[in-house]
Amino acid sequence: MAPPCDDISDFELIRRMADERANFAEARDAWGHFYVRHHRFLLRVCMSYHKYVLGAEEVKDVVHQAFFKAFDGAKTFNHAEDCPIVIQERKSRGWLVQIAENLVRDRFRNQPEVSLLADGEIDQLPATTEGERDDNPVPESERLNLLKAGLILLSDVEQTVLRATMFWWQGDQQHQRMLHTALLELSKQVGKSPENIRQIRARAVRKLEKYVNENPHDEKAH
Amino acid sequence: MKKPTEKYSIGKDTIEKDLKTLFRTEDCSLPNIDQEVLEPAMDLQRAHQLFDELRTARTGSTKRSSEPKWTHPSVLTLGNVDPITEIVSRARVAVLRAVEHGWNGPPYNPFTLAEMRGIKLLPTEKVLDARTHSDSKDRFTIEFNPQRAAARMRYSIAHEIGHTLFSDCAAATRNRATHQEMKEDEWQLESLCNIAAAEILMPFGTIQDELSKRPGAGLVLELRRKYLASCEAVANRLIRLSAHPCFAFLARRSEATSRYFVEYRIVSPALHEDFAIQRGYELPHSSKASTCVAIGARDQEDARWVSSGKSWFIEYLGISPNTGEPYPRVLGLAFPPLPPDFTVAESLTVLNGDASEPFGAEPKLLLQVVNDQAMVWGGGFAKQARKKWPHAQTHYREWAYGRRNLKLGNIHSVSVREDLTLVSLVAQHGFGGAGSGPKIRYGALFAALEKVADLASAQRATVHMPRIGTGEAGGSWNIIEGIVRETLISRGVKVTIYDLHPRNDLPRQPSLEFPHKMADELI
Repeated sequence: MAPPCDDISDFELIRRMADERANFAEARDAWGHFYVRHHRFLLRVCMSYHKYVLGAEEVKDVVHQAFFKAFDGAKTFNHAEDCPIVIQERKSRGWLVQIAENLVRDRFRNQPEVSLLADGEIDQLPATTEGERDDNPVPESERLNLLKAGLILLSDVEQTVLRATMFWWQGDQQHQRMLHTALLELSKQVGKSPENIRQIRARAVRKLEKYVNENPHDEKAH
Repeated sequence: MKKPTEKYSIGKDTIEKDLKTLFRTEDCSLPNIDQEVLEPAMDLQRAHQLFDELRTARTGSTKRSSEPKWTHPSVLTLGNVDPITEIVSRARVAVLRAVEHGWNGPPYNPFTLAEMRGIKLLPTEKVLDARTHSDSKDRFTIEFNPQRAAARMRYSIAHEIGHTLFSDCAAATRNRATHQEMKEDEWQLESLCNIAAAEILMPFGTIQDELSKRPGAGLVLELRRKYLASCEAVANRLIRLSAHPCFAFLARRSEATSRYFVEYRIVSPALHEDFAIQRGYELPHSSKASTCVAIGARDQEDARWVSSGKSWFIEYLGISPNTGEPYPRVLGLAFPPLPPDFTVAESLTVLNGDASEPFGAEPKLLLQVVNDQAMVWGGGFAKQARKKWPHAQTHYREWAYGRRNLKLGNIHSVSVREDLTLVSLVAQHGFGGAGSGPKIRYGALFAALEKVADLASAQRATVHMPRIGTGEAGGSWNIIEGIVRETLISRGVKVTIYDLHPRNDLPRQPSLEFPHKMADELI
């Protein structure tokens, strides 16, 4: 008999969901625990990203659907990886957020998008699509810590704009764009024009860039 | 303590990538969210209950119906979509492209369409009706029997064009399989090609005047003669747009059971009642479909098996069988019982007046066609809109900035009054200049109006417009009205057209000269 789920790692819960055909009752139980463990997190994230454009009820629907899709897609998740509980939680949550993100994008598929770049930024785009190298010698965890510290120093509007627009950010795109409707809703929410939003976003990124480059990246400093 | 700037600069791209990671894993504090919008903490029992609800809802929405599965290999190449919807869409794209290049009617000549699509036509008495084959370079040739009646020839050519819409058509010679040769599921492919033929022979802009009439067998026969099309093509177009609540079905006799089964059905947008007949449905033995054993034979009955508890009136009409089959197929036209005071609600109204001042207190969408190049509305109704609502023009310029959104088929909407939204449809290619043919792009207009239908349904709004696309865009109102009916009215959206002055000279699609006249000489 399988042990109870309370103390079971996220990866093990996902493994049980993936094994739905062999033991459906156990898979259902694992889904329940996975849901209880992460649903408030996902709801908060989705509310902060999408409530302004989807409304609270639709965001809740997205969250439910995301969990249900996770059940269907558990087989595609690499649950066999050996990593600490904290990393498992981070990866599982990242996966859930990704599923929710895809669901939201599906809802807006084929709708018009607009540029996220302010006027000056467009001119500065490099001619080629080759971006920065990924092998930045500063470890990611340190960079993230610096960013977290930098974010706190930004104004509420800057944080809101960054959070809302980063949802639409795509790593493989040089010219970042976002849904036109979403930009208009964001514009209403923060009381700034779309062009101002582009400028606020550009300014916030510049501030963060300045902060992380001017502050020590040694973790001990934090 | 070293600083990153001394040796390594963390650039904007990395910052943005890290921000994405940070927000995705939310390894940072979240902004305050109203507690009331967050669901209460979930216990395991409720989670399981939710799981079961989600599962039931999913099963309900994707429940396998008793419709038979599509199994024919060519049909499966259409992908994971409804084959009927997909083939209609492909035929429609082919038709709209041809119309943009001057293919006109009615009657629409499928021979001309074949030539426009680079398909060679070869008359030969060696074939029963028609067949398609391809050469080594995947160029198609349609061989057809010129001894057949003109309407039959037209239908056969349109049917063969339907075959070329399948991606694997070139891989094998497509015969219109005879009954003896026909594999078990070959009828699926033939049936879809018949549907494509209907789209080709009766494209947009036909039978507008007849839509308010009751679509009985008599009307089908009358329109068949008028438009030189098959009964099947007429019924497809007529029922899809009819203002009468009804549906049509095509049934053919199964040799194995001697019973008629439904190949496909078409439902009028005005019919909201549920009924049992679907693809694969076997008509009861008692059905009078079996009395229509000759082409043109008609019968009728009150049937209680269409839906429980109600008696539907059904008219049957024997129509041409698939090639080589001994029994005609049967077109059924089914009408639910209606209250004595039932009247047809016309969803398209034409008024004399200024479109920029639409009538009605409900939410309204006002449509205009714009081109895919200019960011400033400089002519026709758009110019009037710019002067009347300057902020709408500013909003549009903001949206069109960089011209990335000025793609044919896109729409832009902006509220110009509390109850009025101005919707710009990017459906005109270029502007200015004369003599280069119509600038309207019907395919783009179709795509844009489908988006408008979504918008109107979501806002429960009515749609208002001048005769869009007929000014500088040079489109034919006849075709545009057909597209409006297909996209908006068939979805239950009420449409009002405004003429500043009474019109008797509605613009028509200008005809272009084609080098080959063979097609016209043939029929």
